[in-house]
Amino acid sequence: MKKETGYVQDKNGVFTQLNDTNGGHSLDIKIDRDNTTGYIYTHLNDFPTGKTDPKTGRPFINKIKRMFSPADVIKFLQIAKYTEYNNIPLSSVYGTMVSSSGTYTLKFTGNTADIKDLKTAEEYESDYIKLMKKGNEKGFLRFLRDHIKVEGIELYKIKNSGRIRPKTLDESGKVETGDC
Amino acid sequence: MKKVITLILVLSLSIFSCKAQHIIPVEKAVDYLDKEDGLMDGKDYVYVKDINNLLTKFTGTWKGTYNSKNFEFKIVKTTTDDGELKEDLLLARYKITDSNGRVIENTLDLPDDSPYVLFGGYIIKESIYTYMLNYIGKNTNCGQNGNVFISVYGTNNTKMKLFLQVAGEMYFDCTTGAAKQVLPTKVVTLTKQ
Repeated sequence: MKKETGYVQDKNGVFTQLNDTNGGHSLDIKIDRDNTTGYIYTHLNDFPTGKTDPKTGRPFINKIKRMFSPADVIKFLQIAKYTEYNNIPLSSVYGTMVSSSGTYTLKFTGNTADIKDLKTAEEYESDYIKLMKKGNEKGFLRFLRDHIKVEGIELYKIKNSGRIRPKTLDESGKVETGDC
Repeated sequence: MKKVITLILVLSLSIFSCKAQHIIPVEKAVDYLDKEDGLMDGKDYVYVKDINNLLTKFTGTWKGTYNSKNFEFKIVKTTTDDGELKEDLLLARYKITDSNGRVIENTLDLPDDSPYVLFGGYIIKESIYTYMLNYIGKNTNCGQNGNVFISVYGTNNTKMKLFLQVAGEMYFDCTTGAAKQVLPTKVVTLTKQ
């Protein structure tokens, strides 16, 4: 069974390894209200399920979305929200995901008072799955805009060259890549 | 004259409201999922269509027993359309009981738009006999989530293999620890009723 690997970072710069969840490939991002500043983890590539098609005998593959999940976004927002109590500068808060399709980072430049009225996990999961059919970055940015609805969440793609490019949606809902 | 004006108005409205429809056969949808633009593929309106009638063989009521639990799945084919993406896909509802008939989980009466109804999904790249459904459990915040694979086989496709590939996404509001999975994580065999 393949698992993701990841860490949370505290305000002293110490990284703590994350544990995997109940039989899944995902990680449980545990947040310490007083100390956590961010997280970083690797997303898996598509992987064989170990099961085969009974008719053709061919092994089949579990496809992975190489983007932050709704749960990752909520965890990130929670870390940002906690800066109201723990004196960690909001500019230090981050969430980073490393995958074969690119490395993405979330930052928050909004007002933490706007992090409220979040919906249930079930609703977010359903909305997210449907939107992600329309493209990795586009689906994710639309999910933030239309369902998370918290102003100030910023998505950046870090290219292999080290260049960082902000990703936003234009008025027609298409992805725009900016310059840093 | 009135009739002519009405006809011109109706025709004009149809022309302006008509979006060019780009069709992707359901068995090809999986090829688009890793693309930057996903199923939209740069188009304004896409229909993922069951042109070759590949989804019907999965539909119906399927029953089986595994690990002293009884599983019943009701699978239907439907079409969704959000104005940008139209899709022929499968929905699956289920009821799980223990050996004494006690209900462990039941989603049979839930509406199509309930998150607890399994929804497609795609025909996998490796076989037109296997389909992937998205699973969101009632304890999804504690890791009841993932992909359910269904494969038909046997004479007239009257047998089905099914299992859950757990994702295990944990939400911030999970306070009880990882939830037990109710869908089978090992392969269960079902028979068409």
